[in-house]
Amino acid sequence: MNMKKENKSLYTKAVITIGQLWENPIIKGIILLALALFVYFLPKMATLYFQRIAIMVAFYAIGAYTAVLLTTYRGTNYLVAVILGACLAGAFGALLALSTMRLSGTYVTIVTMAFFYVISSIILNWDSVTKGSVGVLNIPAPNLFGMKLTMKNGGIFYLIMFYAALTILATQLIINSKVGRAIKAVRDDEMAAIMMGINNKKYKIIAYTLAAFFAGLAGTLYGPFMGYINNATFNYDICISALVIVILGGIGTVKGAIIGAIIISPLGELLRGLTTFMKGLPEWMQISQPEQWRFVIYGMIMVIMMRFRPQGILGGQSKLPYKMPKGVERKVMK
Amino acid sequence: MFVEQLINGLAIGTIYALVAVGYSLVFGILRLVNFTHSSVYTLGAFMVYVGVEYLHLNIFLAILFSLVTTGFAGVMIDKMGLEPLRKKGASKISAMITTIGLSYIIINCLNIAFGSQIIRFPDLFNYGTFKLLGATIAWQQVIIGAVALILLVALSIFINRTRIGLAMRAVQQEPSAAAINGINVNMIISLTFFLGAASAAIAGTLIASYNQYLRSSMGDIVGLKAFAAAVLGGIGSLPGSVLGGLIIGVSESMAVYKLGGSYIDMVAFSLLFLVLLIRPYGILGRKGSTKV
Repeated sequence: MNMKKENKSLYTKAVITIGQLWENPIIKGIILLALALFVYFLPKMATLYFQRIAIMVAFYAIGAYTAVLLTTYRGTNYLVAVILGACLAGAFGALLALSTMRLSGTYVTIVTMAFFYVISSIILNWDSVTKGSVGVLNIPAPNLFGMKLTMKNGGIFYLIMFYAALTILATQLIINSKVGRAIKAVRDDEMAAIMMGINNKKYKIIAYTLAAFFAGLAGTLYGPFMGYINNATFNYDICISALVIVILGGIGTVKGAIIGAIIISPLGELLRGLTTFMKGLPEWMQISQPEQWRFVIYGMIMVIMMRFRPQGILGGQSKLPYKMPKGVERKVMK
Repeated sequence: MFVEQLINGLAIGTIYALVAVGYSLVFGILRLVNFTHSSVYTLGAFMVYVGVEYLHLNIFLAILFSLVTTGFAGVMIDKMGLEPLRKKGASKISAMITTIGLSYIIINCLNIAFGSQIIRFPDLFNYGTFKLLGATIAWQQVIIGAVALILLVALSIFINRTRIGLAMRAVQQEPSAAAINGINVNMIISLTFFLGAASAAIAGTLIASYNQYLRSSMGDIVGLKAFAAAVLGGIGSLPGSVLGGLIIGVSESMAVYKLGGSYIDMVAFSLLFLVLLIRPYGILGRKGSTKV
């Protein structure tokens, strides 16, 4: 009984701390930016479409939980835990790719959604390992070569930036390689790709694995950053926030993700500010639930963007000449 | 215990089927997964609550009120959200993201208006219990199952026996050919949305009265399970949706009977996963040919 009470008070404390963290628009912006950057791989890396954003959160959760549980309860080295987390997420990605190989269209959608649901249900119910809804508390700050990276000394921001730079670099390298071109071909037109002799199954597995790997990597960052995770950390609202960011900024571009994150992340703060500002006004003009209004606005952004500018603010066709890979020459008959 | 759980599973299963039919109808015509369906289901239950609580209507009038308003909400979703996209020739993904956005708007508006906490809902069919094969069964379960079943039969008669149903099937097969033959395609699509929304409203009301509460997040999991049911049976096929709904409902209550309640939500999805491994197009679905 006493134990439970203690847990509960810890829990409330943790919730309050997280609330305070989220008060800070800069931190929020950075989280969302990081998230958006990782989501940006979704359209590029995988043969996935947008409805499958849910699955990225599932891999995100797998990475986060693996790293957090290892570092908090086993005292594993941070780097080792990160690599294990990302690899486990990647392995799940490969497994999912193998099991959805025979499916197409809507069937893949529902299976990936089901996968997300099964993972979050396991997190909630496997109390002995994941601590269920109580969550994992007091996650240690990442320790790199004897240096503690915390929120206070700002180390964690540099870590996020490092991850983001690393992932952008890695994706650019992969996208412009032979594997990347094959993945793009399979994504854009599977039938045509098969006709050109591309092994669609092999590249689907590669794409899923890579996307899951990077999502898992992003997840390993989340735990030490927040200091606390539980089953509710990884929910559809995260998917929707990320989805809105990429839709607003422009689908499949880094620029778009950054712009989207800059516009979207202060929205919650603005609405909260508006609520206090409107206190003096007549009752019918007041906004009482800023959080809900934020989601209504998200929905409106989605609908309006799809109606008037589906490619996003910065999206659209690239006017730059297509860059030929090494060893391929452009020969135009004149 | 077994018989009770079986009856319970069948009752819940028919409701899943009723929601799944809505997914299937829209998918059959637009080839689009309608993500607003789960929020329309919630809206339906809330409209009955509004009718009883704020407009002081008789419960049957309240249900009728909910049917009409929710049905028209479905039509508005199509007219304001999806029809412009169809006219523009936008991609399927745009349409799907629009439905995600609209469902977010509906759910959060309900949240703003009624709050996210549990609201008590009247028990509509509280007629006590009866004994069958040594098990105690609530009339409520039987009535809920029966109402859903009657609606399913009525829907299938409407689609297979009437002229409008014929037009719906024609649009499902080939919209442009149907338009050439003088069918008002946009009207038929709106009608489909109306039917889907109205059946979801009834399903939402039945579930709310079964649980005796309603809340704005009640549609999330039911919507997903009904979608799973539609896919399990073969999306686009009405008998398939019904079969899928019953299978998921019964297997869930069997899982509660054997394993206890905490893994209930996983059963539907694990089952779906296994079935699709063996039959990638669902139980009654047919494999379409890929056109190049």
